[in-house]
This record gives sequence, C-alpha cells and structure tokens, in this order.
Amino acid sequence: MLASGSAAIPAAGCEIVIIDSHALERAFDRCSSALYRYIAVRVGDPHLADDLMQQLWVQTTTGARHVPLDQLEYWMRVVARNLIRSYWRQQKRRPTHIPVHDERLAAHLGERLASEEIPAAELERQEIRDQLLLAITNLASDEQELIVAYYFEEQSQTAIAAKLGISERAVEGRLYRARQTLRDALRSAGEE
Amino acid sequence: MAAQHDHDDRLADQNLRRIGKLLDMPQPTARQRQQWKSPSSDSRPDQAHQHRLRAGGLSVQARRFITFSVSAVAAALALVAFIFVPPTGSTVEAATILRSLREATHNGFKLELSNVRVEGVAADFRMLIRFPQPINLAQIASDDDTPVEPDAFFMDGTVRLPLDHEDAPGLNVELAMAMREGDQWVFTRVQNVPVEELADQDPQAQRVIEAVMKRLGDGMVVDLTGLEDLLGQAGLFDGDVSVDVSKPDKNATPGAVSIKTTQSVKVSAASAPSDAGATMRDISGGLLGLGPIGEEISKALEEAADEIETEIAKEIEAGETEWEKRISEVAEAIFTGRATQAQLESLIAEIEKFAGHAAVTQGSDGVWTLSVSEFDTTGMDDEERKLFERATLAIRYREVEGVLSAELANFGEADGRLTFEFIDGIDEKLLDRTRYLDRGVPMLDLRNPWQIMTFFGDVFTTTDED
Repeated sequence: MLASGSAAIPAAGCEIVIIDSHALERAFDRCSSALYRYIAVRVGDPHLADDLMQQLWVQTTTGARHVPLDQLEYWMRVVARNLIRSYWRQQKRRPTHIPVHDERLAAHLGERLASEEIPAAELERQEIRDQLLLAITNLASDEQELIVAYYFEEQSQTAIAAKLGISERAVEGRLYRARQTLRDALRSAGEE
Repeated sequence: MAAQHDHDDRLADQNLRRIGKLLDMPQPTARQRQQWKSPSSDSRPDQAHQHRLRAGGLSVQARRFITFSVSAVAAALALVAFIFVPPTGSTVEAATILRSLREATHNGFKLELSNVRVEGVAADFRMLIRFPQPINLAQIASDDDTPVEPDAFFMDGTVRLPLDHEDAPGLNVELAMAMREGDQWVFTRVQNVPVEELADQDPQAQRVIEAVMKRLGDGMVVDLTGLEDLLGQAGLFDGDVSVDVSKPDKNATPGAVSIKTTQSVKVSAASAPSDAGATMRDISGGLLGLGPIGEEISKALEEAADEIETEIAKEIEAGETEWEKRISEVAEAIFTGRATQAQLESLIAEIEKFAGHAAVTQGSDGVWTLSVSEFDTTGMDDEERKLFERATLAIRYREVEGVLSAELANFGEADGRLTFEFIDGIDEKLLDRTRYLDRGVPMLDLRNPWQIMTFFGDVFTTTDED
C-alpha cells in the first residue's frame, strides 16, 4: 500500500516510489519548525538558520522524491545536519558560542532529570542549557512539538488535545513517552 | 517498580517545567516558514546573503575566473583565428578557420590536472578518451542526442590531504579506472581514513569500516566487467555502460564529456548532477538487504548523496551570473562554429580585461604559441589571489592542423597545471590491470559472490561477534 501522495513506477526490476510535490510540501511543513530549531540551536544565528532552511527546502523538492514518506523526516534531518557541517567546513571554524555535544555531561543530565530536582542555579549554567537544547531539538518532530508546546509555550493539555484532535488522555500518554525519549536521548552516548 | 517509574517521571516533568521557563527555544514565525519555500525572497540580511554568494567555498570572483579559464580555450581559438588571418576581411577568414577547427578530426583527447595544491590538499588527475574513428568538435558539441561512443576510457588520480588537516589528516586516495570492450576495472587505494569520524561514534560501524579500510589500504582491483550482472541480479541495473560525449545539458561546460549509463544508473560528471544523488540513493536502498557491509555501504552512499545534493542546492541558489551566462554562450558559439563578429569582439575584450599580457611566438616546429598571463585578480581575496596571480594560459596552434593543446599553468599553491590536448590513442599499458596484479594487489571479481564474502571475511567475522 502506497502512502497518499505517491505513485509507484515499475523500473529496472524494482519499484520506485515517487512522492508528489504536494505530499513533499506537507511533510516539510509538518517537520519544518522542529528542523528549524535543530538548525538554529546548532548555528546560533536565526538568519543563517533561515538561510539553511531555504537550502533544505530546495534539497527536499529536488532530491527527496524517491525517499519513502515514512523516512522523509529522517532524510531531511540528515540533510540539515550536512548543511550545517558543510557551512562550518566553509567557515573553517565554529564560533565559540555554538553548543557542542558533551556525551558525559548529557548522560549525567539524563540521569538527574528523573532522579532529583535539579537546582535552578545549575539550569542557568550555559553548558547544561546547551545539552538540553541539543537533546530537545534532536527529538523527532512530533515529540519535539509536544515538549515545546507544553513546557516552553505552556499550552494546556486541553488546548493541545484540541489542536491535535485527540483526547487529553492521549496527550498525557504522548507527553509521558516524549519525556522518556528525552531522558533516553540524553543518556545515550553520542547524539549526532 | 511502577511507582518508581511514576516518581521518576514526575521529577522529569517538574524539571522540564522549570527548564521551559529558563530556556529560550527558537520558534519560527508563520512568515519565516513561508519564506523558506520562497528562495527568491531578498528579505534576508547581508550575512546570510554573503553565505550564499560563497556557496561551494568560492567567491563570485573566483568562480568567474574558473569560468573564464574554461572559456579561455574557446576565446583563444578566436584570438588565434584573428592572428593568422590577413587584416582585410578578417572576420570572414576567422569564421572559416573556426569552421575548420570545428571540423578537424581527432582520435581522442586527454585532460590532465597535475600538481594542484589548494589549502594544503594536493591532487593529480588525468582522463583519456579514445574513439573508434576520428571525430570532430562539432560532434562533441552537437545538440543532437546521438552519443559518439568511445572504445576506450582511462582515468587515474590521487588526492592527498596534509597531516594537519582538520577532518582527515594524511588522507591519501588513489584511484585508476579503465574501460574497453569486455574489460572494465577500477583500482583503488585509500589510506589514513578518519574511521572514527566516518563511523559517527558507532563502535560496530567503526569495526566494519576499519576492516574495509584495512583492505583498501593495501590497494584493490575490482573487476567491473561483472558489474552489470551483479546489479542486474539486485534489480538495480538494466542497461549498458557507455560513455556519452553528446552535449548533455545546456548548463554543462561546452564540450565537456560525461560518463553515464544508458538506462537506470546514471553517473554524470557534466550533466544534471542531481541524478548522481538520486542514483546513489537507488543503489543504497538495494544494498540494505546485503548484510552488515551492505548496510554500511548504503549508509555511506546516503551521506555522500546528501553531500552532493547539498552542493547542488547551493549551486542552484548561487545561480549563474549574467557575465557567466554571456561567456558560456559565446564559448559555445565558438566551439560550434556559430560565433558572430560581435561575439568574437566581445571575447577579445574580455581577454583584455583579464590579462595584462598576451603574446604570440613561433617555434621551430611550425607551432605557434599564444601565451596569456598577468590575469587580473581584482576583487579576489588574498587566498584566491595566491591561487591565480601567477597563472598562465598557453594555446599551441599549428596551421592546417589547428589547435594542438591548451594549458593553464602555475595556479594553486604549487605550480598547478591543467592541460587539454588532442591525442591519437591511449597507451595499451594504461588500460591493462596486470601492472597492479603483478605487484601483488588482490583483485575482487564482482561476478563471484563467494570471493566477495571471503575477501571481506574479517568484516563479517568482526560484526558477527557483536
């Protein structure tokens, strides 16, 4: 069964699925805020992040037609990561204020997140904030949007449920899983 | 146990509430989201715009210079035409000579890039193509889709990175490839690969890549004669490999040669490069079912495809300047013998803008040499100026025979050299793989799956232990 917005063309003995432009745009729109955060946190410049998002859109429209719809978000994230790397490579150096993944610190934070009340003074530390931002923006778009809406924009579960068209109970369940994913992401070695 | 989970989750929830209040999370506006899909918008600040202008690591000035260098061969043909014709009626005579150049036949050509050094990276490359019968520039640059198929192709090259290189210190890649009827092979040797970087901190991937690189570090010949069979079994390939020298794309460099297969797998150096990324993804998908090494190669191909498509996107966004478009049109017109007087004059003017020195000298063998040097580097930054300020262009021409070769020399940090010349044939020794086999380099026959398994035996052993 093909996903909506795609067509199968038998060629050279195998099935190639071509995603139509509307389906690509819908997939891009669905993930774009999460991808923007992913890029913006890692380049530290909102204008540059806009620029890279434009490049990501161009790449998606030109290069993602053969990518299965269920892998499209992963594909866009890899392209976003490569765009960032490519940019730093051209610049030859990273500015000092760009967050850099610290495996040990992230793992420690992942343990503490669910085992103690982390003091506010610690959460103010730049290196702690960096690891949290890197981990949250590395979440898949669905979970990332949920975390951002609930904890950063302080939307109620009722409002989120209405927006997503699901029950409050379902929102609660998804938030639980998103917190688990975030803890796992922090604890696992090597974010990217 | 469940109570403990609930307790842990409550703490995570409380911590996240406080984190949410303290951290600034980037959040795009609806307008931003719309602008991402409208790359023509010019509402971005200068810094971002500057980034686009430098897409591909080169400034507009440097790109202009490179375009100029390529087009200079065509421009030089025009100059030579003017130099060798009587003053009266020169335009008509020039057109005659250009037509004769266009129609003069050759058995093949060679493109060589030697002693190139840019930012410490050293590279050498050569490519030779031989045709079964003499062909002319008109056939190479023809708009019609009928490819002129060569009967032999050879390329080799090396890339060496400096020991203090940030991403891959000391990386050394050596590659050679030959194709002729019933005999196609590639030799590769790769040393000092940054395995940890490639493996992306994945220990299993690291072991696989290490094992593969150990093989490649000693060099390996792969018999490509079996490639069609292998890919055909995987349902990935259903066509013949051929070298297509027709002009594949109006945006391609005039006269450039692309290598591509006729059907589902396309590898093109000069035509639509987005095909390369799509092809790599096609192949990569098919490799996923071939075990751990297939998955690793698939992953590497996916990443390479991403890189390619990233560069393509940047090139698309950077666009072609009006100047580049004009020069490309004129160069194409000259190569195809359709240049007007106005176009010829405009090329002369362009050369005068770029070169402080131009001279013609006659050698004892009847060969005239047009030398152009002291290129204008205005607008380039210091690094780019170092690359081009000593560059010289030399066109060798013999009456009746026409242009023999074109050479751009003394560019880059060393004395880099780019040479294009017509050749009568390819030394058969170059096309023969035995020079590698005689010195003990192993050969991998793609038609023999058992040999492939044995060859990479230590790779599978390593991963099976995990």
